[in-house]
Amino acid sequence: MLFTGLSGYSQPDTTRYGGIRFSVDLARGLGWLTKPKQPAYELIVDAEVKDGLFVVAEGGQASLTFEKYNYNLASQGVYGRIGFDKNFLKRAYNENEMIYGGFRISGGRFTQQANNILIPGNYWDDMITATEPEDIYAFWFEFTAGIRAELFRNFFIGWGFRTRMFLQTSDHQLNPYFIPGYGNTLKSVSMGFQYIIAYRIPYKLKQ
Amino acid sequence: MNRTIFILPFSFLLLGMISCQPSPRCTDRTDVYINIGFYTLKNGIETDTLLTRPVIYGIGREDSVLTSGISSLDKIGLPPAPGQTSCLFVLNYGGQSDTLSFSYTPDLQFLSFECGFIEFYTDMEFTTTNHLIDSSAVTQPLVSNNDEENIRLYIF
Repeated sequence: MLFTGLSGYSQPDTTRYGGIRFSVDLARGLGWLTKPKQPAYELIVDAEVKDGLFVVAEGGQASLTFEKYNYNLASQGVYGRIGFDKNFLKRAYNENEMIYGGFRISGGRFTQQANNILIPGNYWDDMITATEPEDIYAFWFEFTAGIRAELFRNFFIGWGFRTRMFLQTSDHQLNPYFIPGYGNTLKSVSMGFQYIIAYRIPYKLKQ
Repeated sequence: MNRTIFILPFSFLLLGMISCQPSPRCTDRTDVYINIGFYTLKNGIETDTLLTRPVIYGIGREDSVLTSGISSLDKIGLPPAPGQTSCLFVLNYGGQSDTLSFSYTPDLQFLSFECGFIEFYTDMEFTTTNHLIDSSAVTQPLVSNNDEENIRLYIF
């Protein structure tokens, strides 16, 4: 009887599951709602290739129209990033929360133009002018850090911040003022935030 | 893992993002002038010269004298005509007058988000008639938004 009972006992599944996770950056979406003339979105795909190590690909589109009494700016384009995140949290086999840090190599292509530029004459007639549209390529690096929490099974929320630096651009006449995916170029280091919702398609990780 | 640890900062940051509004304000200097200093040269010695009640106006803007209400000056900033490659002024002093002729290349620059654009003028060249002006020298051919002297005018 004793041996029969033991043979019916089943071990709990302690398999560590990874997954390919699809995320949307809510910060871009909220910006779109408050500024409908400046559509932007960002999608993120990451996959856990090893326990705690994630390969990440990000892509998006952004535009900026900036209107002031003495000029208008328009910049729009697409960008992409690839890199990795490392989860520094010690977890049980069934926990998927993250406190992570990571690195990205990033690039983008965008068009910029300035219109209705007012140069006051101060004595002579004022001048209204515009710049020619320019296509520009940009490359930069990013360091990332943040957290992810699994709200429900395979549904995640999280936030993170990133530091962008070492910006390089192709030749241009007018210094870029806004680069999609990078932001304001007038600072040597650009900071950014992400607010993430995500869904994960799980798979077994190799032990 | 206690998920509150993750969710609370998320909420606070979200509120912070929504409540943050930039307040741009231009603090840079946005006006550009050709800065001219008046001097005399006697026996090779250069001294500052004060012009009393000079009259300076732009050709084409004879209706508007730049120096009205000024009793005396030893330097002046003349505004370049934006978008143009040249401008002319008349200097009338002591019953004599000279025409000041400036030529340059306009160079549109983005100053900042707050201030917008500004026009500098590069490769400035200067010529003048010589009724009351003895000679001249271009000391800084880039005309920008600073106080650096661009031209020295030597008065007889």
